[in-house]
Amino acid sequence: MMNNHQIIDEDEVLFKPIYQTGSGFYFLAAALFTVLLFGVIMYIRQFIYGLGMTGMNEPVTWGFYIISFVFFIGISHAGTLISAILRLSKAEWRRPITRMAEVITGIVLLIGGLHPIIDLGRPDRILHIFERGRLQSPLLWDMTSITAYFTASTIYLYLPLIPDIALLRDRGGRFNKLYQILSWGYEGTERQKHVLERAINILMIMVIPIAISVHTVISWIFSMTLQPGWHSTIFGPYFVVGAIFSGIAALIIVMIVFRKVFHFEDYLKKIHFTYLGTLLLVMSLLWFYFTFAEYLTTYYGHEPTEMRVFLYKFTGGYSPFFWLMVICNFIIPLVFLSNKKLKTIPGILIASIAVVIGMWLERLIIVIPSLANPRLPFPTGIYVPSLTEISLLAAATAAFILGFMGFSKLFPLISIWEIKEGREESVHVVSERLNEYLPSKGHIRK
Amino acid sequence: MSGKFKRFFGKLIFIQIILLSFLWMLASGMTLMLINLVHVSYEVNDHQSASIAISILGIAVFWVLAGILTYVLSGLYRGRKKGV
Repeated sequence: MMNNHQIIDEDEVLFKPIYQTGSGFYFLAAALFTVLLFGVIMYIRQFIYGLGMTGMNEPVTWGFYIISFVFFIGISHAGTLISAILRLSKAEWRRPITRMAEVITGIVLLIGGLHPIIDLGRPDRILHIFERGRLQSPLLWDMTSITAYFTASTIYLYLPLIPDIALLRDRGGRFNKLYQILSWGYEGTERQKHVLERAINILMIMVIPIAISVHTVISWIFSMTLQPGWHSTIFGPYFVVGAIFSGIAALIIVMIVFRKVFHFEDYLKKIHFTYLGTLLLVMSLLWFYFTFAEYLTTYYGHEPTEMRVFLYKFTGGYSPFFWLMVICNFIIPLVFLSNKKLKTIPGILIASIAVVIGMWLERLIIVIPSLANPRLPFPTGIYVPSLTEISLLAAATAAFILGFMGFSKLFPLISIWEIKEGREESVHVVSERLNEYLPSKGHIRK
Repeated sequence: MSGKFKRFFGKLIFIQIILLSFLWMLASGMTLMLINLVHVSYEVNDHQSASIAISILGIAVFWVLAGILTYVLSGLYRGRKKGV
């Protein structure tokens, strides 16, 4: 086994985050851990005193926790789904992106999946699901599909990680025992490569329907009820579009941050952000189309209970959030991503941050106004989040960043073997593919 | 292979198999849970509708995932260089 100091790899910069840790890392980790700890303390307080510690009350019985649940699960679509689609379409520019995307999925699914449990006043009662759960409840379908998605995503993250873990194992140094266990004896033989490639190919096809089903099922939690504003047939695709939209935005933010912090400029180039920016613009237009279709149908029907929710969003108490959502999800991305001069890396970052904020607001706009304006003749409810809910949202965000920081200390954030493979084979593979696409008398044909 | 290396390698395989068995336990656990819930819904004369199909699909997904990981890990083990 070789010492890591003896190895000079052409992709050495990708190993650096694992072996070198600056003081800034510890300061940031300490600050985030404090936020996380405060959130845990607030949760313990809620556990002892009950949901009275939150801003939730009749009729608004779902608040920040369910909003964050839908939001984080939506973000999870960044990873596995985008990575699988890019792999499936043989997009060569995917190589430095897929790992980060897959890590996002793993972390946010864990965080998002915890939120329905946090939302319970008696979390111990979650165990009743296993024994006497109602099979036809969309909540149960949700639990099943999220567990399946988490399992599939973790395996989909792990399998392409094996060759890189083997590289780390061969370099020696800290955590070597862990790398020996996780690399599963990978030595890069032809048979091992074939097995791994075959499994990744099966998984990348399998995770696409699983990922789509997850967010469709989440939308059914709302649309299977007869609540005004929720009972909609397009909620499934609307949620999936929103999830991919927020997922791409989160992926861009993560990529830009790590590019800056770990000096990945040679790997994450302007072209990657331009492509992802274009994808974000397309999703923004698609999101606007779905939003327009959803609200136009409601307005045209003019059903009184539906209109109460509609007006509550458009001109009532939640109108500032609604219009801010439109600005963040449509206006800002449109301005920054459709203008060549503004479509720079900072411009794409601004658009992505706006989308993440906008998509969180969209979840707020979906959850609260419908509950605040129930079908029964009750006065409009009010929901103001308490410190407990705000601190738990902050803790969830801190957990996400800490999760990524932790991962960066153990594994490469960019798939090293895929980069190497790309250097060795991509040009040849792409030129062969071009030969297949183009007419036979083209000048590219040999 | 020296005795010390053999012992270490044996321990490594043992840990790896334990890790893999967690996934099989999850797949089995999900299957048992869903079968139990189907049974409960019959017991209380509930209307199952599409839930049965969703449950069957859910069970299949977990078993396929466990199968894929087992295939990879056994394939990697068998595909190692001779003599290692």
